[in-house]
Amino acid sequence: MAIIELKEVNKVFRTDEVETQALENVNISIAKGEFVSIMGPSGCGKSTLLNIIGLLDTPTSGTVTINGTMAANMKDSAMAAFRNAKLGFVFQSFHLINSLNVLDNVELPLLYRHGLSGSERTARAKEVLERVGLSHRMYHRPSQLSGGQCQRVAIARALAGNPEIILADEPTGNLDSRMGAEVMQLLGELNSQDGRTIVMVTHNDDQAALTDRIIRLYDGRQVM
Amino acid sequence: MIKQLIKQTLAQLRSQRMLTAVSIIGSALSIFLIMVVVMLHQVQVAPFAPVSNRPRMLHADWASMQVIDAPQYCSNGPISEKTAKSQFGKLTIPEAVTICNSETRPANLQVPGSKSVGSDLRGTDEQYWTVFDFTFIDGKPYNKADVDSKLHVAVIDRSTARLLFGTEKAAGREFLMNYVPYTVAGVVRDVSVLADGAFSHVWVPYTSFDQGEWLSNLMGSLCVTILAKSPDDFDAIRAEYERNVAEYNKEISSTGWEFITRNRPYDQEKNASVIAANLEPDEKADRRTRWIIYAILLIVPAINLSGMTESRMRRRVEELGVRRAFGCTRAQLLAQLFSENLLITILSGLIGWLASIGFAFLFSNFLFSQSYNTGTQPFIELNMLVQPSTFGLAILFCFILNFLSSSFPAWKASRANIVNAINKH
Repeated sequence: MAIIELKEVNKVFRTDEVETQALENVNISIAKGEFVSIMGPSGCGKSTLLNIIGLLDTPTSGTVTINGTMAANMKDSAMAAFRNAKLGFVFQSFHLINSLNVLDNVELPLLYRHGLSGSERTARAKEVLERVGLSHRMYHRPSQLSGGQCQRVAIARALAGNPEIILADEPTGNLDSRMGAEVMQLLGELNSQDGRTIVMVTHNDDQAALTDRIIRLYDGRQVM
Repeated sequence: MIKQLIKQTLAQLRSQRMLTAVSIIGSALSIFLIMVVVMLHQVQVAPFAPVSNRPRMLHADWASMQVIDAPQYCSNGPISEKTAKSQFGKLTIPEAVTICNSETRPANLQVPGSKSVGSDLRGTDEQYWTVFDFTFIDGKPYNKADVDSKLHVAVIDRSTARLLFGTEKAAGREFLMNYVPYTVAGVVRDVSVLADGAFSHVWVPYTSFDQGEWLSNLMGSLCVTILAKSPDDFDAIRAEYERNVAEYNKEISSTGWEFITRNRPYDQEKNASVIAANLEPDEKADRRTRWIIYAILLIVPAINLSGMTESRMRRRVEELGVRRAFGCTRAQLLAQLFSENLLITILSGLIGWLASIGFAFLFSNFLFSQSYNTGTQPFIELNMLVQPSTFGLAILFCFILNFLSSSFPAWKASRANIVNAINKH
């Protein structure tokens, strides 16, 4: 059964002067537990597609169904709760909050989850930091960490809420090959050991080859 | 969540030091200005010793008369003993009624053989010591028998006792007041001129010196302060007073004059609004004016501060986008930004409030100056300025300032497109 299903998705960016078709008639079905990579040249709509899957953006037309729930017509609060419970994000530039320490960064998704006490949040954050091998860095600031460590913190943050789906937008794009390999190994473990569904945007053919399936885009269109 | 909020706010304070410092100074200055204006009014109406009973007080500092056949001819001013006793002495509802001089007058005090000391003098009755809560350091107040027998006894304040006798333990000692011998009955803590009817340096029975009555002995130099059992009794006391005045007017009809009440006696707030004896004060208009001043003092800095708040938000746009991506709703984000700003505003408000208190202490002479005969300068004590009501107003103004300065930037930030925010577009 598909955990992510996009049907006839179109996305048009409009300004006063220009209209850009970022995605055109995209149909995607991703099964639960699949590790999928999205590839294509720059500007082909990979990140736009990932943002739509992650409910960070809305399609101009078409339907998005995640875990059996249609995204259309969801109110802001319902969509936020859905993202919080079902989706975890890993960004190319990590997007950690520099004014907070590692532990607080990882706790972030749990702040918006009802019914969790402060100690439960901290325990969960420590647990995932342990998993990504950074428990010894929990009171450091992101600025005190290497790029690879920052990305592992970002993965820990994505894992903190125990989401079924992890969406990674070029997670190794800012890392050297050794650190990139470490991150890929970690994502692979999350998929193979936990059964989490992972959708990853990448430019790297070698890394894409490690995933179950590759979705290719060209000028906003899905190509085989 | 509150811990996280405080942690986040402190982190913001650290990460944007310059902007935060300017915001804090701006907000503190705004609260400072407002609190100075608030204090100017508060010292006139808020309770502090020896006017701790202000909320239960009614004042008739002046009275008004008109010619029966020609009402356009009026006379306004303090009243005589006979008028005071007829109109107010018969009141049955209040807890206490005191008759005393409406203003202090200058007096020369001297211990024979020593240099004379200029001071303020107020004549009072014995109820005065019930209506106002003086702190006696030595001796005790004079009583009804002393007042009725026009005894030359006096209560003096601590500073006067030290000037005259070199000690505050002066009960029983004698001195000359305007060359007339008086005996000290008691010594009280100094009273600020801001305590209006309670202020003086020397208090003696008003019967012990000439009160200078005029207009067929209907007017004089006395006023009345009424201590009600409860503010709820004010209307009943006024009604009883109106009946007494009507009765008194019949008694004095042969003079061709009659008293008009102008809705006296006034409560503390209304009395603080009195600008002339022949006009009934409009305390509602005064209140309106004050709130307009507060509004101007809040809105102008709030507009400036909102620019700074928006600038702070703009620097955090990526973080706000990440929060939204991980499940923060618009309402939660709005509440968070609002709360963070409120913490900063409260911190600023506290600084502004403390600065206003410090300013009031340092510049009390010109800030609270009063025109008294001997040119006594007002002194300020902490309990005059630090009132629950002033603290409450300071907090209220912080909330309003925060609301005005952060609502729009926070709302705008919460509505930002998540993808654009994350990518800092």
